[in-house]
Amino acid sequence: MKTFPLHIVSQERKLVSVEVESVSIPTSEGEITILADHIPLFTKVKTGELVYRQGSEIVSVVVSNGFMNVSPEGEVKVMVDSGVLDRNISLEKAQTAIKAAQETMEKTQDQRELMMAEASLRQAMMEVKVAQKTKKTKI
Amino acid sequence: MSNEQQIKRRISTAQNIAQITKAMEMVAASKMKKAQDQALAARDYSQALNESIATLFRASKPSHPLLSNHELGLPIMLVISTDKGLCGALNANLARELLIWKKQHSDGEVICVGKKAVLLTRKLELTVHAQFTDLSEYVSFQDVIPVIELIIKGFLEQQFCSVEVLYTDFINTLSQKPKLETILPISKNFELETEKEIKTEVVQLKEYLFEPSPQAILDQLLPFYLENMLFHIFLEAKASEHSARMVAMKNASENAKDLMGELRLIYNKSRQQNVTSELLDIISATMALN
Repeated sequence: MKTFPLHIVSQERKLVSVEVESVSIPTSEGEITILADHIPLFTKVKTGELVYRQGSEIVSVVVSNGFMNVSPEGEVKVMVDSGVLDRNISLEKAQTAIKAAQETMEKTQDQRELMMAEASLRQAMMEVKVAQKTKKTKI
Repeated sequence: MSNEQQIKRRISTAQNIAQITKAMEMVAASKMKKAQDQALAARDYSQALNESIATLFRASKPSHPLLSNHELGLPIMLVISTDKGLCGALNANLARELLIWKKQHSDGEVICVGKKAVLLTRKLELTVHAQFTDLSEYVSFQDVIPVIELIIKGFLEQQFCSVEVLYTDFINTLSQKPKLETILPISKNFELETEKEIKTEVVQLKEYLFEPSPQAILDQLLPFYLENMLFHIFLEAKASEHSARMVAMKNASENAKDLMGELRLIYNKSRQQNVTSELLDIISATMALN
């Protein structure tokens, strides 16, 4: 049977790259099976089970939401999302980031003065140190 | 005598410093390698994604709020710096670019990634809109999602009129350059890329099937495009940070070794002087006795 290349990639790395005879994939419009010489197709992939066949071997992979592109050359590329689980909590994280920024804005005003004071103290200390050093050692 | 002891102490101090910086250099080198590998591993996805978007653009004249300009809201700058110091001039270079940007956009606000960015922003008396600090050493995709979510939301609600990103571009291990890029609106950087490809592949387009529709897919694909772009920028910045740190530490350990050499020379000289003067003492004493 005629084969075609199948690539499954996520944002972070390449997951699968094989020559297959057929692949069944859950899409937003229902499950479809792709054989070699399929017409060019671009569609959304839904979370579910992707099954591909290599000769007598049948392999199944769990995929998350993403996209699939069947190119005019017959190459099938499935792009899955590796951050699915984190999307729910990301808004919360963004809120925390804004809050943290507001705190910084309030804090830095005092901190600035503190930093200035610290800097001048440090300079004075250094001067003392240098004065002591030059007395002791003559290198 | 006390002089000699002091020099000896300084030699051992320099030695300790050299040891520590050497260790830090090695740690940075391995981390840099990791970041580079990660960027390489992520290349397949971004290639696939870019191809898909190019195809979509050719298939339909897309319209999307993320692609259009609007005047309302603030200009936003996303600064990606490091959490820790000791990485040479990396953060100072970012500061210089940020200062230039500040002059052009006096009402702009900054989203900071990394502690150093927060410090820089405050030093330049700019407003911090949001801050993401203490990100993990190993950049993962989940670090990027909240940042991009914040940006897209702000842009769509017309709080932001444009979003630019300032990061350190990794050229090679020895050189990294601060780089400014526009993230939103997208059209600015994307049209150029797609136009080039249109000429080559017009023929196959009519046969392309889009399910459910090009527009519906594009709506979902664009946020992914942005995420991916930012993920890459994060990786670049991380690789730059580690290589800058590696080089800085290498210089530091070399300097420490030079210093050790100089000090040792001084130490030996003064020791020889002591020996000579002691010999002189003994000789002159015996001569006086005879």
